[in-house]
Amino acid sequence: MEILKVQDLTKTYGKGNTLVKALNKINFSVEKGEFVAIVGASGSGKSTLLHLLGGVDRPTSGKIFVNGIDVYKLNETDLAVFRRRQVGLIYQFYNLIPILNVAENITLPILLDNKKVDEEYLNELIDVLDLKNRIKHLPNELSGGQQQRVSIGRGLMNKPALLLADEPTGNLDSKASKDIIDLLKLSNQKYNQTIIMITHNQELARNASRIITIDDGQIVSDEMVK
Amino acid sequence: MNILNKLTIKHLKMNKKRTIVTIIGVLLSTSLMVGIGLLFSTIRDNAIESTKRYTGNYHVMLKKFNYDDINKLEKVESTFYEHGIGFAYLEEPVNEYKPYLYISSVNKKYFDELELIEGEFPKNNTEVVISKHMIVGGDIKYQVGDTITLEIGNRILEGKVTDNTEGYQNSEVDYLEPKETKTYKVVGIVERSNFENYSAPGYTIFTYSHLAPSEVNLYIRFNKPSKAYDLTDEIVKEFNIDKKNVQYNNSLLSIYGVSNYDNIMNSMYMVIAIVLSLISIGCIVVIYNSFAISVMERKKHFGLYSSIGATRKQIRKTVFFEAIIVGTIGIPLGILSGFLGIGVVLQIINNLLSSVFEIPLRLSAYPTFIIIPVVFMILVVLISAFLPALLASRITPIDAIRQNDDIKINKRKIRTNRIIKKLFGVESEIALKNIKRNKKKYRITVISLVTSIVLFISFSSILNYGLTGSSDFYSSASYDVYVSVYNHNETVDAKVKEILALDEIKKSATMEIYSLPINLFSEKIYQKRYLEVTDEYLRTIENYKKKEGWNFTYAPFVVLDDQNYDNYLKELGLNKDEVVFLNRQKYISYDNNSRKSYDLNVVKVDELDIKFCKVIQEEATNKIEPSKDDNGEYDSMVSGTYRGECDKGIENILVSDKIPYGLKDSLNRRGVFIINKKIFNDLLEEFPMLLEYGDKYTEIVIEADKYTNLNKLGEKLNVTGHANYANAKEMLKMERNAILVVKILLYGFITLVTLIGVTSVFNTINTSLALRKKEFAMLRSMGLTPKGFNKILYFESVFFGLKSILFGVPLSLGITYLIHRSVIDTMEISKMIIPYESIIISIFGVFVIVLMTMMYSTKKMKHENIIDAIREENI
Repeated sequence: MEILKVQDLTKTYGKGNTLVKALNKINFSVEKGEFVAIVGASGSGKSTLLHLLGGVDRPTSGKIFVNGIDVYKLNETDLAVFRRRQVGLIYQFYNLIPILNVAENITLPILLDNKKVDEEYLNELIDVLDLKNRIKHLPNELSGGQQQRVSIGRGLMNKPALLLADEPTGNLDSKASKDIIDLLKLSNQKYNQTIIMITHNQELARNASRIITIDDGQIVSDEMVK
Repeated sequence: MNILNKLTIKHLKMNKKRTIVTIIGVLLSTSLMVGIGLLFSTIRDNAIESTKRYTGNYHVMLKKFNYDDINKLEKVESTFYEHGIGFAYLEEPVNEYKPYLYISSVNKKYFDELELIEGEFPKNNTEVVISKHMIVGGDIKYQVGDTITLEIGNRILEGKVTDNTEGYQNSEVDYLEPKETKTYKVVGIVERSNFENYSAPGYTIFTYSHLAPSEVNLYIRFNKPSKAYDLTDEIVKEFNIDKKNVQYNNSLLSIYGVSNYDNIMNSMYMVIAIVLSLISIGCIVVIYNSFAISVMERKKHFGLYSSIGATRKQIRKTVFFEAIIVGTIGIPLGILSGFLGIGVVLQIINNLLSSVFEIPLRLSAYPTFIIIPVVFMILVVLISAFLPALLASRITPIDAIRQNDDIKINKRKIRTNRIIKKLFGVESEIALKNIKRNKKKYRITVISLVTSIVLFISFSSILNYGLTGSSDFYSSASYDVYVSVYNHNETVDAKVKEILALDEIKKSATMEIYSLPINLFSEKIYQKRYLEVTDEYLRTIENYKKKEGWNFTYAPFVVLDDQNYDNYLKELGLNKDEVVFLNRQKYISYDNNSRKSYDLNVVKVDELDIKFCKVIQEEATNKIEPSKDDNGEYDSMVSGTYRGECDKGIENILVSDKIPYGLKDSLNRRGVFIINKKIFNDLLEEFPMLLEYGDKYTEIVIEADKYTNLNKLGEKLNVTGHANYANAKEMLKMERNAILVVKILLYGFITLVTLIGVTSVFNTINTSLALRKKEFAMLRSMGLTPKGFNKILYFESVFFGLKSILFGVPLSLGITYLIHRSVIDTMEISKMIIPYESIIISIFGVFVIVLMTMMYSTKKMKHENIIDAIREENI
């Protein structure tokens, strides 16, 4: 089943002489359950692509379909709801809310929806994330790896169509990085979660099932990993 | 509770300092608003109460109302009635305008309107209560327990039976027709009744009867005073009442706001409008700023919420939620402190001004005056939250994710002057670039500062104008007590004698003043300076001259009592009685706002020849002629032409500039002649035509140690209506107290208003510095010394200060001009009073407040671990 379809996606910054094409007519699609790694050098446009997929930025032209919905045809409110229900975002710098504890940070997307938290699923997630003893802790009381696990939990809490990860290990040591990648793989297998991960680390990328390489705003290779 | 609301509460708790300062801002604004409302409400209440005391507590009075119809009246809160039994002559009337007793029969409810001092109210129609002013003013020696027998009859005025409202005329047209003889027992004494006119010819005594005649004078209080006129019209229609018999209590109704009278307080309203709009704008700016700052601080949070799917509406709601929390705490506390504050102020006023207000000021919370400010504050809070809420909901997730807005920085926008860098170093450049980068944030701070400056200076201006209005009239008084007698009769003269005989008096002087016609001085002998200063007088002389034959003027001759006259002679070194011309004139001008007092010589000679004149009316007919002066053209009545025959005179009048003891400044407007009784009598003998000008008035000045008996007798003298007793010492004290109260109120206002502004300044600066924590840490990591750190702060303070002064001071001057314009009609002020003092204070204040806030906000930062600050996520 095709869960994501990207059509002629273009994003430019600036004007005239200072015009920068961050993305230039990109096309690809992703099936449900795929674990895609997007790799590229700094400035290649991979972060821009991820932000556009997550519905937090707007493309200059082109379209993105998630579950058949033309994302950027949605109005502001529906786009917010789309982000809430269809996308989980994991940032390099975790971006947790410092005044909320672990459990609250994880359940934030559900709470924003004014829905009841599925306690069973939450407990399962916390188990998987190995945060059992940290539920009541505030972000600044956690290590970087733990914080990133919280943010993965937040991304998964809504069982989103897409889990987007922007250099999720960029700020972590190798041990913690391995844990995070294992966790992503686990969720990919256990919940059949579609994951798109950005990294500049070829080694990490090899954990994915498919690697898309971007350079200068364009896809230069798209290969399956055996 | 909604998760976002929970987050808001957490956020408020996290930023305790700012939250508390914001709440204080709302609290102060609310208490200021409520305080103004309470003050108005209290003053209005006091006006109503004292008006009731003067006019009686009723809305309309219907004369000759049919007793049986009283029960048929609707929408009436209360009624009471009275009817006249008749008049009786007083045995020895002291006051020539009050020769009668008026006997009034009333119902029980009427007694509520009387204030019993002694004894009790009558229980039947043979008992009476008398009024206190009969005893004090009328010198009638009735006591409780006395039995009085009166010959009662109708009062006939110009041939018609009339009541106790028309003033007394004279015994020829105003007299009694006796009907019956009645005996009453005096059972009590009451304060003067509100229903007795000051010009009433009869002192009222009240008796009670449960029986009523067919017609009574009915006093009505309606349920709704505001509808008094309409309801009366209905009654008039229903019971077919003659309009002549309807008497509204207009002074009371006008305070309820239902009078048809035009308001004379337009200029006052203008000032009040300026004050209220200033405060309102101040409140809005301050509260808006605190929400704007809060949103700025939470910008990243909102972006994050948005990136994980919070809708715009949800984010807007959180800002409103914050407003509601701040409002629910701040507004009730503000109401409370408003009540407390005004309570304390009223206590102070009552202590200082006990005798200015007949009834002590009592805190009154008329609902409208409380509801309006509270509703206004709620609106202010919500409106202030509206824009920031809109702003918050527009924050895009991408802005939040990118961590900063650096991408938006435009090179040109932050270009700074190279000279500044050279002059003040790289720190100045950092400071300036920062200001240029965060224009919006800094704008809020500058707006807060400008608001504070404008509020401070404008309120100081109001204070300036307020105090200029209250000229210290009595402060120039050289004596303690002044008595003026303008109508001499036996009673008055006796009372004056009694006063002058009091032991309390240390020193006194009595002056009888006569205006006698003398020939005009030749212009040549006047001092040049005198003519310059008193050009008004000069004009009068010229006017006299223009009119054919006007060759005389009335000059004041002051007959000093013998003792003071003798002392005066001694002072002048004379050994025989002589006419002295006081060659000294005190002249006060109020030109250009300043009260200038001149003390000049009138003439430039040592001896004077004057001639007395016989005034002859040449043209008897009164005619109307067009006339013209500074105020424009108008018709004036010319009462014929007069000419003086001035042939005989006194020669060699001594000219001196020594002022005798007792002479009031007001008397000394142009040269006066000082004589004693003997000289005056000699003059009358020599110039019999002066007898025509025998009308005198008397001025007495007194210095005393104590005033107890003086004041008591003085009060009695004033009751006669022919003299005026004034204790300047006590009035001066009252006046100073009144100024003190005005000062307390306005300085209280200024303090509050300034504090409100300061809360806003504190919040804006504190928050924007907190947001730059990471940046400061970075600078420190690169080797910025504490000295350099302070340099940045100094530089930014100077920038804030200069910019806000640049906008604030001219704006304040504009508002001062508005105030000036609105009071110019009621006050004799021609030039705008520029509030230099408060401008200087506010310039210093701005720098001090900004710098102190900056130092305070960065105190922690300066000692924090640099790496912690850099690592800390800027959320």
